[in-house]
Amino acid sequence: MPKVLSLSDLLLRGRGAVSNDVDEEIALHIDARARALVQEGLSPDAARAEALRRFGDVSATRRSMVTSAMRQRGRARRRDQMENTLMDLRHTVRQLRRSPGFASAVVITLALGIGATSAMFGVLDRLLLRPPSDVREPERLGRLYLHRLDEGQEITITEVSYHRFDELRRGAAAAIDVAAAYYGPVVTGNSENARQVRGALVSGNFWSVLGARPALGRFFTLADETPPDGTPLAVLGHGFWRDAYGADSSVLGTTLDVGAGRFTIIGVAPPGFTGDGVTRVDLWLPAATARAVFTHLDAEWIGRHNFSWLSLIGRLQPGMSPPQAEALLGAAYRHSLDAVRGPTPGAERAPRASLWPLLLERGPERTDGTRVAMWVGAVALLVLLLACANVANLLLARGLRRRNEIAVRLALGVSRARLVRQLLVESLLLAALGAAAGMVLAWQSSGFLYATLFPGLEIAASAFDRRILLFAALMGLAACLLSGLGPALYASRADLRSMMGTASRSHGHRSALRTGLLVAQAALSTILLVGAGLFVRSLREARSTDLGFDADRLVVARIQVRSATGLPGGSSPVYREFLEPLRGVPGVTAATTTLQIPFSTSGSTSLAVPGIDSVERFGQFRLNGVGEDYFETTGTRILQGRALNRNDRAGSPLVLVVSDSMARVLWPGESALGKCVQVGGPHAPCSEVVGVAANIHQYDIRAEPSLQYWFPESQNQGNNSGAFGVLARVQGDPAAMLPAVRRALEPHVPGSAFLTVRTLRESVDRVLRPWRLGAAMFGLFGLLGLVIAAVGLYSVLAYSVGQRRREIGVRSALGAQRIRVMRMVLSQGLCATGIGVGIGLLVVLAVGRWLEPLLVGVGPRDPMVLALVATTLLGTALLASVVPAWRATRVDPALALREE
Amino acid sequence: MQVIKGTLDLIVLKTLSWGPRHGFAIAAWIEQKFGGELILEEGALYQSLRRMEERGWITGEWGVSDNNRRARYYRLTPVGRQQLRAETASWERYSAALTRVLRTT
Repeated sequence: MPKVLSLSDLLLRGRGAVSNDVDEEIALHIDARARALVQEGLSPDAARAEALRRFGDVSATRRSMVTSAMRQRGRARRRDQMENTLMDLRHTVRQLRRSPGFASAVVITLALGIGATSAMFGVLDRLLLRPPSDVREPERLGRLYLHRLDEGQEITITEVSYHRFDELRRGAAAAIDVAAAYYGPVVTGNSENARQVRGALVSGNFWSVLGARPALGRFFTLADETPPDGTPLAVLGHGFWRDAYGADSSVLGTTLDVGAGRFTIIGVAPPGFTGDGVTRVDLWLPAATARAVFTHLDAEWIGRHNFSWLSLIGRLQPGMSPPQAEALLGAAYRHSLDAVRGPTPGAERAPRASLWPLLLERGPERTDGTRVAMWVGAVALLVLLLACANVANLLLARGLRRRNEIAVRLALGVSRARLVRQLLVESLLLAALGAAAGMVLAWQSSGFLYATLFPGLEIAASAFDRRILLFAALMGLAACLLSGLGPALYASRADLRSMMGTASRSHGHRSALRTGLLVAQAALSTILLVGAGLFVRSLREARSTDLGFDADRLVVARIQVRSATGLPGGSSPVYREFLEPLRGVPGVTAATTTLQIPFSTSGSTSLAVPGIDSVERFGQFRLNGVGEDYFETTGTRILQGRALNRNDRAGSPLVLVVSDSMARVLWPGESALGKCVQVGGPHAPCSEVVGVAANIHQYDIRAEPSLQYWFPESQNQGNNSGAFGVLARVQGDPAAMLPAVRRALEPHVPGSAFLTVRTLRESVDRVLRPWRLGAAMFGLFGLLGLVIAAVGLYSVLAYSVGQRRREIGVRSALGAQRIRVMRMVLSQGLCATGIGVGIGLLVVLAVGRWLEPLLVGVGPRDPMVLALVATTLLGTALLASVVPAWRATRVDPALALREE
Repeated sequence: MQVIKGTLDLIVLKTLSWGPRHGFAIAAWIEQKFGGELILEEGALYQSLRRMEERGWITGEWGVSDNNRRARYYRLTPVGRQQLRAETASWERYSAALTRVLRTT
């Protein structure tokens, strides 16, 4: 058998080569045939003609042969590539198994980066990117806010009355279809079986505006919204239908008691339907049936404006633009306002409307949780970058170690493209492993993230889904390219002469790249650590903020009434009745009724003080009507005068206790005791200030202490009387006391109401949670960044010392002292770190103000944090450099020189 | 006599079962074996070769022919050998059955 050319030779040639081959084959055949015919006795010309005749249609055969060959060639090339890739993969796996330390370092680094980024992406995707499910054309939908001037300042109105909604809907119908919704707890079932579920009261057109279709039955419509109380129809949430009714479709037509009403079930919402929000909803009711839930409303409520509870959404009519809708809504709002107060010059109130994205967190009502989530997401991205820089550095070092092998392979004719591909396979494999581990991490942590950032918000859908997986995969790919491409290109640039011969002398620009990566790492670590420091300090400040009351000692008990008429005489008598049994519970040392519950509710009314013009200019004064043992119960200290006591009752002289802050703004430099305050305005009677109490934070830890005053709830000040709940002061852990408190109070709860008992700490913790998470995440990532940077620095310096053995040997031989050699290596590491820290600090100074709204009691440029971070990083750099530096001094000149 | 549709591949596979050959050698062998009874359009032979190469039954490689010209040599692959066995068996069954049918009086 004659020698054949290799298959791959053929494969590498193009279509031209293929048709040449075919032509040659055909020519050969015809020649051979003609020769055979000549031997049979034909003349050469006749033989040729006969040969062609026997062959048939030459051009058709040729075409068919070329096409077939091309197809086969393409298939073979693909198979070849696949085989090459598999070979590369096997090669890579072998290599990685040989250095498990390197492999696991890279995978863990990438997993943490990718996991953190993906988990945060999941949260932000749900809150900021993805439209709610089962919504048709979400881009035509928007959330509506109203604005008007109030004492010269524009205020934003997020909730409106049913009447206003109705007027806006009719007024702007030409441009936008406006719907309204309220989300809140509702009570279903009767007395013992009563339970609280997540409800929503929505306007009849809510369904058509969102474009949702029922999973079962039908939805209610605007026609069911007849005043005064609408038609009592209910649509079940899909999850509730499944959990409470076992997904039984015969549920349609049955009735369900909700609040004070009896509702007929007419439909089931689609699975995962959350309306315009993100939380699960169990029960959808018509907004016009509000009186069943809000039992204090009277029969005329639907025509009044004093109960603002509905948030507004709208769908643009076909062909209408947001500005057109805003203009019509603004006009409708003006009409609605004028109808109440009579026309006023427009400039005075300047009512207008604005259209925002449907997602709540993208509008003016964004929560701290989302802000923190965005920061943590950015931080996670930084960590991923840091991880990529580190992996790039590690790969670069490996590439340099392997450059002899690479140079040899290049010399043997392996193409650079093939080599780069092979090196990329390595980073791709590492990134794939990292991404897989990252997905597990994201999956494990997403539930925890939601619970921490958004307590009480039960996200309807699973916190982990395809989009997160896709994102993690994309991040993995990006990480692979980011960390692998540079090193692969560098490594493939190896050339035989410089590599094999004078290996160690030409690494100048490669080490420049590595130093650049080190600087970047140090800068990123600086940013992370500064963030961590600021959040940790904020958390500490927030925690140590003197709330003015003992949040850790207090239990709150409240009742929720579910009857149409309310309780005879209101709920205050019930709360007063609670006090005796409460005091009887072992471990309860004091109990009081209260109108406002810290970190849950607050209230204010107009106030006048003789001798002071318009006290409102000092800010909002928050009121509280309290029982006789209030200060003893909460632990709020009395600084001057006396606390309220049992002698302050209905009929006795009106008295007040004011907070220190209130006393200082109203009567600076004088004693507040004995001063007169008119609660309810200038026509109200004087209340005498009898005490000054310590400042308290009623709602917000970040804000200044509230301007606060307390009066006896029995003295009925400006219609702000009554009780809203009871507070009990307990010894020991309040959470452990909850069952005992519940048992003691349960017999005194009227049948038409149900009891909730919780610790005050819960409410305070809810407020602290974003900082806690921020501190934990920044702290974790900052530490991670520090470790990554330290490992990177160590490996670079150790490598560089290894490379410069000869140079160091020569220096030592020429008489350089060890200390100078050591200084040389140390300064290399410290310089890179120093520059990185400098850059990081500059970045922090530049972007710090964006962080400011999230910080408590500490500025974004806090010198202590900045100094501490710089010291930590430089100290770490020093530590990481010591070992390589020490090793450099141990280089034996004779040995190092002989190695060459 | 014309080549019955679909049997050309089988004939070519059989030809190659004794070892690699180039196209003209295959054509010559077929001519010799059928003793000129078979009218073979030789272009079809080459199309058949390329088609079977694409299917992986045979492989073609350039070599040097006896009179020192470059020629494409085709050789059976293991898959092709299997294909030859299978088609031979099915052809024998078919022709035996057909013969039986035609002899029925």
